[in-house]
Amino acid sequence: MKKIKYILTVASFALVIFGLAIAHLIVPDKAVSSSERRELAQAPSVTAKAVFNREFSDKLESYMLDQFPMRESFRQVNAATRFYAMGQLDSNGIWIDGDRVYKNEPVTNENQIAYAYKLYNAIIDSYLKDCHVYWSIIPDKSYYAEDKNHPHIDYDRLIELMTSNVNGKYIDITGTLDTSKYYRTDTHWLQPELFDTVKALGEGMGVGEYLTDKREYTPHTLSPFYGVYLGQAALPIKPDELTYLTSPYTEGAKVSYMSNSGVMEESSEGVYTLSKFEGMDGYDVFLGGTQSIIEIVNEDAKTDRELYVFRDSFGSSFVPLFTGAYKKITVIDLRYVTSQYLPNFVEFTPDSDVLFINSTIVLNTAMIMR
Amino acid sequence: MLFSGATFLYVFLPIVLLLYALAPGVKCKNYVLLIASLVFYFFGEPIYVLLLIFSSISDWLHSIYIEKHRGDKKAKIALISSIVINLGMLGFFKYTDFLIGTVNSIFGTSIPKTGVPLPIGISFFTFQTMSYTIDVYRGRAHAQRDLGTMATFVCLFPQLIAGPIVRYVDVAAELEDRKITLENVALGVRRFAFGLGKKVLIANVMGELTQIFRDSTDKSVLFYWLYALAYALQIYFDFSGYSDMAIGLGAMFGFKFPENFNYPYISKSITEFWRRWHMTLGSWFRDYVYIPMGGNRTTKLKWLRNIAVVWILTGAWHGAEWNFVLWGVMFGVLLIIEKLWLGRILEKLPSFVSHIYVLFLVVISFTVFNAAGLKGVVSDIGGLFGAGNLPLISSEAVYYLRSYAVPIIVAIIGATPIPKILYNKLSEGPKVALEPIATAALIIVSTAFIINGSFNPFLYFRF
Repeated sequence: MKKIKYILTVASFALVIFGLAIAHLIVPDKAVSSSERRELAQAPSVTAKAVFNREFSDKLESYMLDQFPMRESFRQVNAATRFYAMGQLDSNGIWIDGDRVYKNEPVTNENQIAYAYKLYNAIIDSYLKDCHVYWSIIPDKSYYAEDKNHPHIDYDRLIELMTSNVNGKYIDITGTLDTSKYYRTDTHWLQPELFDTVKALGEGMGVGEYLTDKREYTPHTLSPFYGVYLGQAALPIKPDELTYLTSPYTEGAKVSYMSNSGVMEESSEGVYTLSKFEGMDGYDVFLGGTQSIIEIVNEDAKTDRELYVFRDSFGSSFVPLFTGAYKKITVIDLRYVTSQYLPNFVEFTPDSDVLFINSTIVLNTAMIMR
Repeated sequence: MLFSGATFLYVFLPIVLLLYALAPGVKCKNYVLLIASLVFYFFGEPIYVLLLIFSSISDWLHSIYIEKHRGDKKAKIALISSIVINLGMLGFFKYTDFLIGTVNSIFGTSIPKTGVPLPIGISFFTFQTMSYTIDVYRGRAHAQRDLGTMATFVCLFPQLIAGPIVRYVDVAAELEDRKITLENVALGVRRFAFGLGKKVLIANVMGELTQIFRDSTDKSVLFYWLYALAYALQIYFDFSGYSDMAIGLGAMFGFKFPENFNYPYISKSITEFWRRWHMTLGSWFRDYVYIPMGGNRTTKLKWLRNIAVVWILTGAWHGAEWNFVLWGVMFGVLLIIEKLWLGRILEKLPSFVSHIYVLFLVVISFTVFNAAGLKGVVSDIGGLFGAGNLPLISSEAVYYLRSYAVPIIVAIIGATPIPKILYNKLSEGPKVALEPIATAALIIVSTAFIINGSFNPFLYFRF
């Protein structure tokens, strides 16, 4: 009996170790992981320099992990073990309520928040004295989560710090949102659910009456959309659908993006870059994803007013809904353009509207803005 | 290369096992192990592998010389030379910057530090080679004439970088001739899989919790105690898991390495704790420092001095920082107190009181151990007792206590012999299915955790 046990033990070990090693050799390497939305490490090249500075061994380990056979299944085993066997409330900070995925944000960085309001004020003082300055805060999804036991940013403190320091008119949009207005598997909000938010912002800036009516929009759905939290959760959760809205104003808008050489180049795709849906982040459909400065001009807009939006990625999906109300919208992401160089690229027209709007996640890590 | 890394498990290990199985005869198998060990070390330390080769050649030559001149003054000089070289390497790489930093902070000087990185495992392999030459000098071991065999002993990858500290006499016979039986391989496989599980599924998970605590801005007394408990569990499962993997690998290759842990957290005194914790280090200091100094067969004053020396050295061996020295001194003082009077009292106390006494002090000791220098000790120990108006409870502490409750309970039970006792009660029938399934399951689930790329250092690599 013992002999059989020994044989089976050695055999099971050999099967796993040799089986997976051989499978690793046989299974073709992949370029990207769509669920994790990232490029996977490739086999490192062997050079004397790489070997002696340990770069080779580090890269080999990354390659082994990224190209491991049945990697997705192993990641699911990990997540399932943590949630269901170990009873953990999160896995690497990701947690689930029903089919909605959230992320813990345990630290409230007051110094980062202070950096944010000082940066806002410096920009206002330097360039926007003759403009109408508005600002708002986009709460992350956890703000609305029913389960408040998970570590989250101290939202009250964040809002208090911002409202007592930023020079400009604060537009409170917290009452216009709830968890259903965010993607289940992603950090961002759903464009078709933003009408109340857009209305609050529009009315706050005095253009409420010029906003395009909900009924004038046509929804278009792309599927599947793997949200950023889906890959991190590594659990078998149904992916989202991504819906974008078109109207005569969004269709008629001419969009230019600032190139790496600092020149504005007109896009052939307009406010929605559909070709980006198949890329690493499907959300990049909205205003082309990561962009430093964008200009949206709509000659058919209901007003001649101009709007400057200082925003993060949340801005990409709500700005198109303002195309009917403003003739020109300039969208600026301070994570990708340094504020002191703004006059080189943007001419701020006096009497224009300016909206500073970033998510709590970005405000809490504000030093990524420059 | 980490035992719990994908490169080791799914590239290095299968290749080495295959070559080892195909190699005819012990001599050839030794060379497979030697080359594999050098490759293993080269992966982590491409330059310092020369140090390992130098150490092997140096102690090989010294031991032959010592044996040739046994009983002669030349043998003693060769022994001193060997010890000076080994301690010189250890001192230079491990303690130079520590001493410079200490001198700078005491005298306000600004002597630049060397910045020389610590070679992985140097504290382990220098102790192994020192024990070898000392044993040859004492006549307890014959000098190994074959450089390849000697180098195989020094470089043997399963225990090279984090122990157990294997003495030459432990494996001398096996280096010359060993039988690789199905039973030993199967037991080695089982031991390796359990070690891997201890490291990846418990130690790393506890490590995440300690890191969360470090990153938190919502600290409380509860959080400090949760951290201290998690770290005490992490270091035990990390180190004993590594030892299990080393012993398991050794068994697969036909070696019987000494045990390094024997459920230290069930001890009823600190004296007993150190008979169960890092046993190969404790016995090394006993045989090569404590007893040669006279041990307890001397005057009381000298006996206390001997204990003090051993524990200052034990602390410093673990790390070139004053908190490690303090950690060693703390145990030295506790052991002296126990030997003088507390030990007799502990024997009369109910078991649970003795256990609480040991666990409380061990948790405190590892908080000292893991602190960032002496300032960190003051801060962390202060936190445990609410210094600085720290709140008793914070919402984060409660959250992470809930989130890690199951792994902590599993770890606490796993640190006792209860699982082993229960398992041994099973008849052989269920074990026939259970052991292979558990072995495979542990490796697969551990692999899943490794692939997810979570926290995965080995704490004892830095020593």
